[in-house]
Amino acid sequence: MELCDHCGLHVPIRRIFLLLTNAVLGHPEAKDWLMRPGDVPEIIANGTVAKASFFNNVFGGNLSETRRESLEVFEYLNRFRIGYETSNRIDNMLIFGSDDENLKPYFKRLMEQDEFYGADASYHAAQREYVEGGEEDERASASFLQQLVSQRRGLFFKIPKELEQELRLWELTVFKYAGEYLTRVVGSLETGGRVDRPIVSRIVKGLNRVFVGMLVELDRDLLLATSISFSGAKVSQLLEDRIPVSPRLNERVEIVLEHGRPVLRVQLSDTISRSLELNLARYEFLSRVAEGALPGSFSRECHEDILAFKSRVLAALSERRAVEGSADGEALTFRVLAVDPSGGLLDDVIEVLP
Amino acid sequence: MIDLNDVLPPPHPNDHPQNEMWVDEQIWGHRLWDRESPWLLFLEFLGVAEACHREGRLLDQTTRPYPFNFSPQKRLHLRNVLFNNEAIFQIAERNPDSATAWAEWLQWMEDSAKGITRRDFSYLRDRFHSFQNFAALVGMLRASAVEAHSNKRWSSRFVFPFGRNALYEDLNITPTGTVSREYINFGRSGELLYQMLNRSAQAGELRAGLSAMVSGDNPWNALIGLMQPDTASDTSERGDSFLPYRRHPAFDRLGADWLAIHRLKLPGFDAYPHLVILSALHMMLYQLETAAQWCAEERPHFICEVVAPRKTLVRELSALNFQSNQLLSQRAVERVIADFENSDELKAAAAGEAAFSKCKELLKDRFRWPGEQEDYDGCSNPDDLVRAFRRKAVDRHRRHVANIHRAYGGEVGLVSKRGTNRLRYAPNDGLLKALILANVERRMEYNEFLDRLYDRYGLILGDRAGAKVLDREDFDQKAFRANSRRLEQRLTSLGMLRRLSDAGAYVENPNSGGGR
Repeated sequence: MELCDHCGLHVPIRRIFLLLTNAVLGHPEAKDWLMRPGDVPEIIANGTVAKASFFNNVFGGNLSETRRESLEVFEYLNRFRIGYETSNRIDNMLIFGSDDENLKPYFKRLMEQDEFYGADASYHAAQREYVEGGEEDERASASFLQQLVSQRRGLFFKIPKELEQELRLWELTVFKYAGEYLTRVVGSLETGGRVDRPIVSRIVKGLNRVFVGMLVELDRDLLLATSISFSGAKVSQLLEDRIPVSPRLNERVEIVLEHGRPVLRVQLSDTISRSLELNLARYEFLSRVAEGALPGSFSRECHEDILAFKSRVLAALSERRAVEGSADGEALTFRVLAVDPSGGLLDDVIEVLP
Repeated sequence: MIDLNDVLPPPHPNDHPQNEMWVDEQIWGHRLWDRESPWLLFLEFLGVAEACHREGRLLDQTTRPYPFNFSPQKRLHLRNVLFNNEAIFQIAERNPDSATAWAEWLQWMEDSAKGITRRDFSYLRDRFHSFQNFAALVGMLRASAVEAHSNKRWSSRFVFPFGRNALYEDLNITPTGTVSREYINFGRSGELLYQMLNRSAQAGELRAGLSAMVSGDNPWNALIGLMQPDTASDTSERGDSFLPYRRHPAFDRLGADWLAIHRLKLPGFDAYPHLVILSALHMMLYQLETAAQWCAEERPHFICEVVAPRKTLVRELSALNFQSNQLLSQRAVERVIADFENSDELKAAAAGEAAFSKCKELLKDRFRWPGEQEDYDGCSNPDDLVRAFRRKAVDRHRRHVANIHRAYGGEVGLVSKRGTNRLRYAPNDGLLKALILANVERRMEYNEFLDRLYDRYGLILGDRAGAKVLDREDFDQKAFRANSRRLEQRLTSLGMLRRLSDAGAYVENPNSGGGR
């Protein structure tokens, strides 16, 4: 729910009631997918208690696909794709954990100790069949894969704090930086702390790559670049200015809280600044772009957002220039950006005599 | 219906001796030109604005509406440097030494420059540090050209409109160097656009913004100035364009959209693509709306499909709607002629003595047809004459003016075949974005936004507007709701819509509010 908040998704209270009811009572084989008192003995007798997994139901896993998609709250929660995202480590543990020496302790602790929804007899049976069975029996493996989805969802809630790092809990969601975001950005800011420099640098690097449209490595300055005609062009080769990340005069780039939410603030002078609300999606987007993902293919929505932000920062820059007054009589100079193969920045100045 | 008080008297026939007749012209003006892309329309417009600005009468509503004269620049030095200059990059590469490169290039220009009497470009040598620098800047300016990838001859290529130094008119330059005005790319629609804004209610408020656009206080405009000799001012007086209405609701809507975009204070030239789209869109709306007025019909509407993976009812309706709108302008032409045919004046002439010559005189008086000799060689009777006239007028209309709806509609991103094989209305992202920037100051409730799109442009995207115009048997609320939901998703993915609760979604203008 906190994640929803940080994505700007609003969930009303009655939807939360709906969610909780479904979480407690949901079962895919019950009528209308919700258990009634009379259903319970039968479910116990059939050994399908695990299918009533609270963790799966939270995501509407018990519902039919169309029904799930029609309920906003599940649609929101499923945007995190919990259950579908995974890492090799988690899946190895789930599939081979019962037999593998190294993975066994985790499997025991996380799966077998959960008597309700963990690894019950039917799970073990399906798992054995999946590992040993031939490829012909697709139905059986499909059902096991469905169980895996449910178990991954369980793990998302069950993995204790101390194992969070080790098992890379957040790789179970589409937002692999979400843990870092909640603790080291939001958490740190809310307790009056600061955001670590490497994080700011990574976000700035992501911004630079979107702003310039080239794979730059630079993370010490924020590059304000335009193309010759539009600032929103895919590649912006003309450098207007650089804003240093560490404070210099009145310029700096920092991550702070505004109205209780983290924002990236670009300070251009003591009075002029522009802020970009750094919600989870944008945080993830910029982090991934800094890692090498292509902005357009990862999220068009975020890409547009960031380009609009660039447009606002550029507008602020011209505001600052208007305040400072233009330097008349100076030679015309054009700073053209290029990137060498290692991502280094070449900044070529072309000067024209007046 | 057309309010005749708002209609200007037609210009003297001798002002337009080459016009075969005066039919489309009296409905929409001289002239709407379909072969002009929205960007060229915008450039032609800026050229007019620059000329008026130079004479200190930019958007000055006190000037007489006709004749509307202005003197655009030719800027042949600049155009030779930028576009008739294939050798520059090879020379720069071949000669690392700047002085040799300059010498070779100046000689080349002396041999190859066209359309100017003194082919001396040596003024450039003192303005750049090196020939290589100069060549690099020429390369960048060339890359910025409007429609840079089109295969136009050099005298019809246009550098990006950075400011006054970068604006000039379309020319035809023959291999022998004769220069004449060309009307293929700049077909006068841009002149009409200027006059529309000039006659809009917002003209006064738009003056400052437009003045900044055409003066161009930016380094690129300065650079382009440096590419031209100090004495370069070569203008010719133009202006036979004619816009028949003193005022028109379409002009005011155009003006309001321009003003809204100006007020966003987008950096650099970021406003231009939106102005380009909106201007051409309003030209198209002006054409259809005027046609509907002449036909005494309701203002046209546009059922828009938000592209769906499968065929939908909305797509069907949209395709039918497109076809009916496509014929609207022709109906207006036929209506004007039919009104003439049914006029008492013509009936009286046809019944009286010397019927043929009297009818011919009437026709000539009203529509400037037939001309001296070659236009009509049929039987000498009034019915045949009028019939032949109608056929010719409709033919002529179909060749260009009738295509405005499809051509402009397609280029602004309203009309498309995407996902199907029939043309229909399916707005693309660029158009949606321009509409949001022009209509949503900060944030607007989603349904209010849809209502506004219907009220101002006649665009139908959701069930509320759909219910207003469609018959009960055509209207399917579910289909239009689904359409509006798809739009909601599209706008969300563009970062322009946020749903804050299940009851309220808001369209947001990402460029508004200065960022705080």
